[in-house]
Amino acid sequence: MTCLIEFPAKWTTSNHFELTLSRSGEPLMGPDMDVHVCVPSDCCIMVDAGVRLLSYTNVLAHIGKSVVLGFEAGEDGTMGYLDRMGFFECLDSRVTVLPARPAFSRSQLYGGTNKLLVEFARIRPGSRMDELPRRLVDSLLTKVGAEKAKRVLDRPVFTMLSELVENIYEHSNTELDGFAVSQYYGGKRNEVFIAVSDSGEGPMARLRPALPEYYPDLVNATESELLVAMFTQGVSRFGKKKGSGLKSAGHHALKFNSALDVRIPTTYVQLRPAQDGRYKAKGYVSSDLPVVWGTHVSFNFKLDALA
Amino acid sequence: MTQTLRLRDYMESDDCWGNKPGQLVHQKLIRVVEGQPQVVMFWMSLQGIRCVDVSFARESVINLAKRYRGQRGFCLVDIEATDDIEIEDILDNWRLAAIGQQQPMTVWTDDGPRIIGPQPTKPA
Repeated sequence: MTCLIEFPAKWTTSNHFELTLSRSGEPLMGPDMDVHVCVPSDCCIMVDAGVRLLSYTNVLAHIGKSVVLGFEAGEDGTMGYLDRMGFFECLDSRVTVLPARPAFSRSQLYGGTNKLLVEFARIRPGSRMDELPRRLVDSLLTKVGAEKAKRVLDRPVFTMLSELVENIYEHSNTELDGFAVSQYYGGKRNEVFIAVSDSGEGPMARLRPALPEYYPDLVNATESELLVAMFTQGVSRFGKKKGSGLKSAGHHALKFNSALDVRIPTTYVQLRPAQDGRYKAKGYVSSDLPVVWGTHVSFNFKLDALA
Repeated sequence: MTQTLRLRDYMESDDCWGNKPGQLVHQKLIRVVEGQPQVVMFWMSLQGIRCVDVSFARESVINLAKRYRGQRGFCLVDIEATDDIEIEDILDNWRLAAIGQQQPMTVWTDDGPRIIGPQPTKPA
């Protein structure tokens, strides 16, 4: 049997990615060995969804599933956009792409000369790239027109990216690559997206054993509650000996009134700034979802207030 | 006796991030501190630094202040605000690192000296 993952024919964010996956059964852990991902003509995959799709299909291929990634509009549609961002260079070579993998990489073609290009940055555990956060920040800010916004964003965005990337180097505990991306969407949106994904074991496996010693009041907390505590209180497996990168990233995101979206293996939480100046989980949080390896964090925030 | 240390001189680039680079700078700073037992206060100049994240701030300087708590003093100075960027924004990551480590950190700006992070207590 083939498991079908069919994306909607519209702008697709990480939220739509999660909804689509939830309606597709259990592609990763289920018995179906064939997984067909369908991207219809009018589906525009945004970077936060793109980075999750990339990590997820790579994991499917890694565990031996036969994966077909079909783009109905071919290179004229969202496939061309993903290509310019280096998606297919990062995609596991065992994944079949329809109608066909791009004959040449537009990312490589333009990468050296086009400063406006935003790319999926590969994060290889065990192989630290010191220049990575700066490259992503500069790439993002080149596209933001307003000079003031550039200056105001530089430090917080750098911190968000560096703390999340550091988390992958320190905690992902996998040999699979993680990915980071940042992009500015202009026009009416005037919005920044930042997304970082890894395909590791997720934070709970190591956090849970540390709870009795450092956070006894959280021993019975759900995964959703723990995720919120990681972003708001800095709960980490090291107790207070080391700060939590998630809290640091969240602190800066909060200053921009940013929505925050977190996915770990079976739980998905959307955090929104509350009136008390802290993050609160949106009314609906999901657990017992189809398994997705790793930790996937995305932020998006409007720049209108910075004009 | 006091001495100014320009943190940028111990960093690989004008923005640094993460635990290991912070620990490397920490080790360099320990050598400096140990080599000058007569100095009781080090002014940690942030001049020329574009950005450091919380992990780097914690591992490099905040843990240095923690290590020498009650013996040597450390104070952040030369915090370069601009028209758009307030000093508080620049100090944000330092403050988060200080809070995380429960280590009071002195800063001295045009408004005078003050503590960021937790208020000081007597060393244990």
